[in-house]
Amino acid sequence: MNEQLRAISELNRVIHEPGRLMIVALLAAVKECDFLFLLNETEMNKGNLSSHLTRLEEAGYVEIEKTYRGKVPMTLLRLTRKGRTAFDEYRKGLLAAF
Amino acid sequence: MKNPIAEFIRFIKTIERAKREGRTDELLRAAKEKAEIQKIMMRPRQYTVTNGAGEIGWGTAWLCFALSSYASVVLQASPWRGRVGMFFLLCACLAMPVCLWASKRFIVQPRLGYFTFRPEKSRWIGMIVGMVVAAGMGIALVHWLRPEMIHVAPSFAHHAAAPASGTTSRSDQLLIAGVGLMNALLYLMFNAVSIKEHRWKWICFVLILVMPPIIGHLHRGNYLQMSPPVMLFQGSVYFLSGVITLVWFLRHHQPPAPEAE
Repeated sequence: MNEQLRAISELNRVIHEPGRLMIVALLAAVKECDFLFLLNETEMNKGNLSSHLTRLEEAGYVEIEKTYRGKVPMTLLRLTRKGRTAFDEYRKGLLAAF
Repeated sequence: MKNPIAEFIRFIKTIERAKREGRTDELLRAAKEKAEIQKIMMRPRQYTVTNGAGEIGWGTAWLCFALSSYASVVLQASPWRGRVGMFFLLCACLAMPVCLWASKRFIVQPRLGYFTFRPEKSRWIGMIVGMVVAAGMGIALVHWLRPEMIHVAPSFAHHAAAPASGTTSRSDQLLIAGVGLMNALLYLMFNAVSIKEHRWKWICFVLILVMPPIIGHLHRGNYLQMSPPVMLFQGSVYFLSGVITLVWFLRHHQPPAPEAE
C-alpha cells in the first residue's frame, strides 16, 4: 500500500469518525463547555451527541461532570489529558500523511 | 497548540499542490478534513468577537473621553468639574471589559451554551511583559522630562481652554489624521471575521478613516480643541456599528426553547 495511504489508515478510529472528530476539535479549542454548546455547534440531535460522548468517555478522552449553575442542571464536558494527546497525535498523523 | 490560522493556510496550499501533482482523492479528502478541523476550532473564538460587544465597548470608551472633555468646559466654574471628569474617565476605562464580560455572560452563553477558554501561558507572559515595559517607560520618561513638562504644562492648559483660533498647524492635522488611521485599523481588527458578512461595515471604516481630518478642518484650532468632536464622532460610529451587529446577532441566534416538562 502507498505509504501515505497507510498513514491515513493508521489514524485513531475513535477520533476519525466525523461526528466525534467535530466534538474533539471543539473540546480541544476550549477548556470546558456544556452540552448545549456542543449541541449548537455540532448540530447533532441529543441522542447522537450523547452516544458519541459516551464512546469518547469510554475511551478515556472526555470527562463528563454533572453539575448545577444556580438551580439549572448543567453537563460540563472537557477533554482529558489522554484525549488531548490522542487528538494531537491524530493531527500529527494526518500531517504525516503529506 | 500551533497557530490554527497558519496551519489552515498551510493545508490549503497542500491541497493545491496535491491537485497539481494528481494525487489520490483520499489524500485530498483527508487534507480538506484537516482544514475543516481548524475551522471548527476557530468558531468559539469567533463568537466572542462577532456580536458587536467589542465595538460597543470601544465606542462607549471614546464617547466617555469626549464627554469628559466637554464636561470640563461646560462645568468650568463648578466644584463638580473634577468629579464629573473622573467619572467619565472611569466609565471609559471600564466600558470595554464590562461590555465583553456582559456579552459573554448574558448574550453568548444563554444562546450558544457555556464555554471557557484554556489559559494560555504565552499570552499572559506577553501581557505582563508589555505592562512592565510600558510602566517602566512611563516612569522613566516622566523622570527624564520633568523639567520640560513643568515648563510645557501651563501652555497646554492655555491651549485647551483658549477659544478656537481659526488656524490649525500641520503637525496637529497630521496628529488628527493619525488618530483616524489608528481607529480605522482597529475597526478592521475588530471586524476581521464579520466584515465579509456585513459589507456595510466598509462604510463605517471609510467614515472613521476620512472624517477626523475633515472635522479638524471644519472645527479649526489646535489638537486639544479638535479632539473632542473627533472622539465624539468616532465613538458614535463604533457604538452604532456595534449596536447594529448586536441586533443582527440576537436575531440570528435565538435561545433554545425550554424543554417540555
